[in-house]
Amino acid sequence: MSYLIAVGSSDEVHVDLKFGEAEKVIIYEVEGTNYSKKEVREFNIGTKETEQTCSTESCKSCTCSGSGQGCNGGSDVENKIRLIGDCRCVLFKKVGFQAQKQFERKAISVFDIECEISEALKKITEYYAKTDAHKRYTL
Amino acid sequence: MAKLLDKQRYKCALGAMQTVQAIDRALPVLHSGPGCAQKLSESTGSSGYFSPNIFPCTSINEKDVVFGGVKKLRSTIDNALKVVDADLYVVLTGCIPEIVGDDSGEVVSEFTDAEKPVIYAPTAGFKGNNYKGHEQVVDAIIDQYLKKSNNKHKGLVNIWADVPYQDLFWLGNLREIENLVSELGLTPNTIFGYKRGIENINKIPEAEFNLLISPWVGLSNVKKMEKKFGTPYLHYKTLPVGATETSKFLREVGKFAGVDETKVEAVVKEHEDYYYYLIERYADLFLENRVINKQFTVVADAQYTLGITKFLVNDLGLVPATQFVVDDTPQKYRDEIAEEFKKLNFGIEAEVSFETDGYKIHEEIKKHDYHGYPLVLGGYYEKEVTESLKGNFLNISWPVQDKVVFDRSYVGYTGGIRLIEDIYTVAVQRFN
Repeated sequence: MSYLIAVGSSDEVHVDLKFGEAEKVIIYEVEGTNYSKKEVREFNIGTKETEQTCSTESCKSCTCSGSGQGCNGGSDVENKIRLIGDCRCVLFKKVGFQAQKQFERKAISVFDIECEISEALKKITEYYAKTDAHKRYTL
Repeated sequence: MAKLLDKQRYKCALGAMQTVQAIDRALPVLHSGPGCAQKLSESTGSSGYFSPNIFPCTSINEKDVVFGGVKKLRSTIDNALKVVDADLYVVLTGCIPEIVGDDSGEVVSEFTDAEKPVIYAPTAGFKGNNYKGHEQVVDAIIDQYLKKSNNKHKGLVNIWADVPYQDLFWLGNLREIENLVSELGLTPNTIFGYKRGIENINKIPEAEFNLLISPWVGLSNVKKMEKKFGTPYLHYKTLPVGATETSKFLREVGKFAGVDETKVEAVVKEHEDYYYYLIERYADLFLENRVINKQFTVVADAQYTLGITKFLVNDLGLVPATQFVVDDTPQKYRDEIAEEFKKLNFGIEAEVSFETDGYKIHEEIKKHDYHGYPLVLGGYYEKEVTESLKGNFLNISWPVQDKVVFDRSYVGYTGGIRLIEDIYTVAVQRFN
């Protein structure tokens, strides 16, 4: 059965974006160990709607941890995760602790790595193909 | 079909972190999942320097399985060296990095020039239990830290006996063996416990010989040391508990070390005189058939089962029922150990069962006719079954949950007396 992987990349070659700073993600569709680019999803950070949901001073002053783009009381993180909630795993350069927990709640695996997308997808797809078939995985 | 193992008495090889912990100022650095150390640690006392379950750990997760955890291991060792003041850093690997193929040995070798020694022991659970893990740690010290010495110290004896913390009496036992060996005019050298540590480890290659008191655990270590350092070894299979075995032990060690026979006999006599003085004072109690059991069973690791069986038969004149060895003794040692159970006084032979399944052991105990109340010395798991048979129970092997042990010992003449005290304390309670 096919599944989706979300990747944070600025050049579509490297995994080089942090989850908090990414404004879009590239979605790959995987079937077995074959993968192909499916689409690009925009996060739409800072829309009027989300800005209105949080107006406290601490949020505006960017002092809380999380997105790195200023905080919207966690709603940014939630919205972003909702947008890629159908993916099996996500690949970013870095994912903050709070966001990791949110992903965990949805049983989405987080890989915070810095390398070429092709290398990462090769390893991950092999890993899932083997573990899904209850076979041993080695590096 | 999958097999179920009920009430197992050992942990996975990573449990060897307790062996490291028993070495003063040695620190385990774990390359494992975050739950391993938590699951393996027990509240049986810490090293006195480091907390029992707060060790540097790579806490590897799914990402490290897919992309490898060596980077994390490197930074964990690097930072442990910076922030934890230890004398020896022992990297222990769990199942995950060993399965996916992290080259932990290679990463550790990068720290050869570090200010403090860093060594590595592969202790994945699938490689064996914590008895094997203990051997792996000692092997790592021999292979990666120690060097051959031409400076041999006459009379210096390395003593290897218990698996620390797995045996709750390890500290007292080691100290008592040290005392006995000292009385023969030899210099004991152990690496576990208070004020031993790295200085004593450094003395290992200088020893005249290695003294291994264990049916099988540690045999591969002393063989390795014989090969690498040219240190001969004396393998004494039985833990000496009580007068009969301890006197035999002293004579054998004395003979091996070339100690004057008169001196050995003088030591033996002094101890035996006091030992039998104590026994004689309570002879009436022992002769009271109604307070002691006719037959007994020991459920423990090979070391304790053998040592206590010999003690109860040779010193107390009890009759053995089936004895259970629960440490998953490797096949190659089993025949030899079973033979030891036949070398009892009065022509008595004990039947031994190498069984790891608690359910089967309990069924055997229930089936056996003890000709009265059974006496069972075992782990806490045996308490309930013994009570259901109205027997007397003493908790002497892992898991020990009904007593606190600081440095008590069941070894030697004194240890034998302590064990008699404990057994009869249980026995007399039922009539009071």
